Amino acid sequence: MKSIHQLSIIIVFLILSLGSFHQGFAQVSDYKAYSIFIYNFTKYTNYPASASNGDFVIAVLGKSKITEELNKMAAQKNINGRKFKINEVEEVGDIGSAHMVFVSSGKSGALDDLKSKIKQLPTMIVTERDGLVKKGAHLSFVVLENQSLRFEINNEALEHNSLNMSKSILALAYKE
Amino acid sequence: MQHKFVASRSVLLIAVTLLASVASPAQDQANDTTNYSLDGLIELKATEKASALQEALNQGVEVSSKKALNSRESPGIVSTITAEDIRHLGARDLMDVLQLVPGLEFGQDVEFQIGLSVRGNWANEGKVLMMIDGIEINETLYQTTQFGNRFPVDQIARIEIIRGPGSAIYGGTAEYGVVNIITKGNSRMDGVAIAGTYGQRIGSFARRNIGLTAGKKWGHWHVDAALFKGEGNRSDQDYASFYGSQVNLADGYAKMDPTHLNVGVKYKSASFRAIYDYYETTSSEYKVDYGFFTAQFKYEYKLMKKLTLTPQFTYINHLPWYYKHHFEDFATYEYRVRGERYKANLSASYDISRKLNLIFGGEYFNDRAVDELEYENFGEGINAIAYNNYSLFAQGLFQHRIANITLGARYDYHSAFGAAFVPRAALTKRIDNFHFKLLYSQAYRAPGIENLNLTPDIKPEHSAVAELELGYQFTPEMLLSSNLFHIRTKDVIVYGFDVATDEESYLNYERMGTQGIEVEYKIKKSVWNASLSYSFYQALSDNTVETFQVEGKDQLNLGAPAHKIGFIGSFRLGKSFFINPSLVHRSVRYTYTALDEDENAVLGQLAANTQVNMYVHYDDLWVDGLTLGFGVYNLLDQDASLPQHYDGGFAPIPVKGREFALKLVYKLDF
Repeated sequence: MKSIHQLSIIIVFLILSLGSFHQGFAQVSDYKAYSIFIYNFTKYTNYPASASNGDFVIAVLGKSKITEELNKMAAQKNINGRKFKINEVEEVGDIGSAHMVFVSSGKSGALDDLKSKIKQLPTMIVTERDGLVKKGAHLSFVVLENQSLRFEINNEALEHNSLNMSKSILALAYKE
Repeated sequence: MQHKFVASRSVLLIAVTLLASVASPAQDQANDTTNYSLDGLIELKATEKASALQEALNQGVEVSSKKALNSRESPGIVSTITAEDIRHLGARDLMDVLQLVPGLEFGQDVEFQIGLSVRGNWANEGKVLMMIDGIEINETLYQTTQFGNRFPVDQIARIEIIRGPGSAIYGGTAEYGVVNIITKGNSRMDGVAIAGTYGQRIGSFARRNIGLTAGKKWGHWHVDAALFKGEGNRSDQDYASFYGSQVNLADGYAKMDPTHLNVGVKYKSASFRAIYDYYETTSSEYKVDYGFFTAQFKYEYKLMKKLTLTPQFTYINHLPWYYKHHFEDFATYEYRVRGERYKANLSASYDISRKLNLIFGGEYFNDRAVDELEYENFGEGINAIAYNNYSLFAQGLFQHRIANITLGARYDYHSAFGAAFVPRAALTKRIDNFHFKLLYSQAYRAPGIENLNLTPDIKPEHSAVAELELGYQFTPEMLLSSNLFHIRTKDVIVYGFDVATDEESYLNYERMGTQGIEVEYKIKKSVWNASLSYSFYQALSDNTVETFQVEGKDQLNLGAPAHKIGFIGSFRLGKSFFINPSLVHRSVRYTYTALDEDENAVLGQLAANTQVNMYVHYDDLWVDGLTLGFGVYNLLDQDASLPQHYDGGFAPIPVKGREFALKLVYKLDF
C-alpha cells in the first residue's frame, strides 16, 4: 500500500508544482474578440447628450489582458470622431466618469458596488462573466459550448441608464 | 536482461525527447480583426485558435454522460482514440489499439478466447460493455466479447472508452468499463475506402484482412455500408495443455477469422443501423464460433426547443460459444444456444437552462435463449428460457463556473434476480490549464442468462468506485493527466466447477478490488506527436476470491501486470512519409502454467516483456488517397503470451515472434 501512496503523492505534486511555473501556454481567452464586441457596443449605442462629448472612456475593472487589446483598438479607432481612452482600475471608486465599465471575471463580486456608484448615470456595465445581466449588468459575455463568443442583454437596465442600443446589434444577443 | 536494458534505454530516450519540447510554446498568429462587420461578430470565438491537441481535447465526448462534454470535463476517466491515431499506429486489429490504453489488458478466458481486464480485474464476463455505433455487442448468455483479428480497425472513426464504471448510465454490463467504437460510416463519411492487411511471421501465416467502407450523402439522407472479411492465426508456437496434449498452433489451432458487415441509413433525426458479425476461432481442442446480428432504430424528436425525446428500438441476436471438438469422433456441435434481446428505450434530454441539463428515461428488454440442439440446456425437458428487465434512469448535469456537477442513478428490475440500484456523483472542471475530476460511482454486473441457468439464485455483483483525476496543459500541444482509482467489488460472481460432482456453478464471493494510478502524457506538434502512459494497480489486501489471487503475492491478481507502460509516436518526414514507433511494456505476470503430479495447478511466471512495434507509411503514393504501410510487430521478439487471469485450467497461449505486416489503404472522397 505504501508504494501507491508514495507514487500518488509524487504525481499530484508534479502536476500541481509544474503548473505553477508554466503559465499562459494553454488555449486562453481571445481578448481581441472581446474588444471587437466592445468596439461594436460603443458604435451601436446612443448615449444621452450629456455623455456625448469628449473622449469615450472605457474603464477596465480588475487586471485583465483585455486592457492591452482595448489600447490597441484605441490606437486605431475612434467613435464618431471621439477618441477612446482606456483606464485599468482596481477599485470601483476609481472608475471616474467612464462611459463603459468592463468588469473582469475576478471583479464580478464588485457589481453591486458598481451599480450603487453608477445609479442612473449613462455608464454601460459589461461583464466578462456570464449571467450577471440577471444581477443588474447591462451586457454579459457568454461563451457557448462551441467556444463562440456571444452576449446577453438586460433591456431594463439599459433603459434605466438611458442607453439606447440599435436593433441591429440587439438582434445578435444570445437568448436562452 | 539485454531486452530489459534496451527497453529501459528506449523509454529514457523518449522521455528526454518529450521533456525537451516543453520549452517551445507556439506563437499566437492572430491577425488584426477589428474591422469585422457586425454580422461577423457571431463568428468570433472566445478563445484563441486551438492547437491540434486542444481540438482533440475540446471535442465532445458523450460516452460518460450521454451529453457531449469536452474530455477534460466529462464525468468519467475517459480515453479517446481517433482514426488518425489508429492509422499512424498501423493497428492490425483492435487489440493493438486497446492494449495501449492505460489500465486495459488482454487475457485468455477458456479455449484461447481473449477478453479484457480492467485495472487489474478480469472483466471479460459481463463487466465491460462493448458497443459499435452505440449498439451493445456483448453476447447475452455470458455477456462476453472476444478479441483478436476481429473488428475492422481501419473502419473506425473514433473510440471512446470509459476506464471506469458505466452502470449508472448503461446498466449491468458496464461495471468496470465501456468501449464505444464509432465507425466512419456512422460519422457521415462521404466517400469510399478500401483497406487490406497482410501479415506474415517468419515461416508462418499471421493474417490477411480486407475491408470496404462507403458512405454517401443525398440531402437529408445519409447511407453507409462496410464489409470486412479476414483470416488470422494468433500464434505459431507449440502449445502444451494442462492435460498433456501438445500441438503447434500454426497447424490451425489458433485461428481467428472475422466476417463483419455494418450498414446504416440516416434521414434527418432518424437513423437505422444493422450489424452482422461472424467470428470463427479455434483452440488446441475446439472450434468456437460467435455470430451476432443486431439492428437498431433511433429517432431524436425535438418536442420543444429545449426538450428532445429519443425512442430507440434494438434487436439483438447472438449465437455465442458455438463449439465442437476438432477430432472426427466428436465433430458435431456440442453447444448451440441462441440468445435474443428485444429492447426498447425512451430517453428525454431537457436543457432547463444553458447550464443545466436533465436526462431521464426508461428501458425495457426481453431476453430469450433457445437451445437449438435441444440438449435440454436449461434443465430437464427445457430448451428455452426468457427474462424481462425494466429500468429507470436519470442524470442531472449542472455546469457551474466553479465546477460541473453530475448526479445520476439507474434502477433495474430483473425478473430473475430482482432489483439493482446504482447512483453516481461527479465533480469536474477545467480552470485554464488545469483540470480535475472527482468521481464516485456504484456499478453492478447483472448475471447473464447462463449464470442464472447454472445458479438460479445468483445475486448481482456490486462495485463502488472512487476516482480522482488531475491534469495540466503545459503548452497548447502538451497535456499531462493522472488519476487515482479505488475499486471495491462485493458479491463477486465467479465460475466454479466441482470435480467430485462434475457440476458447474456460479457463486457470489465476498469481496475483491484494486486500487492504482494511471498517468498519460500527450504531445501533438505539427510534424510529430507522441503519447506516453503508465498504469499501476495493486489488489486490495482483503480480497477473498481465491481464483484471482497469486499465492504469496497479495498485491497482484493473476495474469495482470502491476505495471504497464505504453508509448505511441508518429513522426512525419517530408510531406507524406511517417515513422510510427510504439511499445507496450508489461511487468512480470503470474499465471497457472501446468498441472503437477497430483493434478494441482502450478503457479508460473511470465517475465516482464516489452513489445515494440515499428510502422512506416507513405501517403498519397502515386495517386491521392493511396497509402502504403509496412510494419514490424514485436520487433524485439519477446514473449507476449496471453495468460488466464484466473485459475481456469488453461496454460497461457504462447505468443512470440515478429510479425511483418503490409497495409494498403485507398480512400476516395466524393
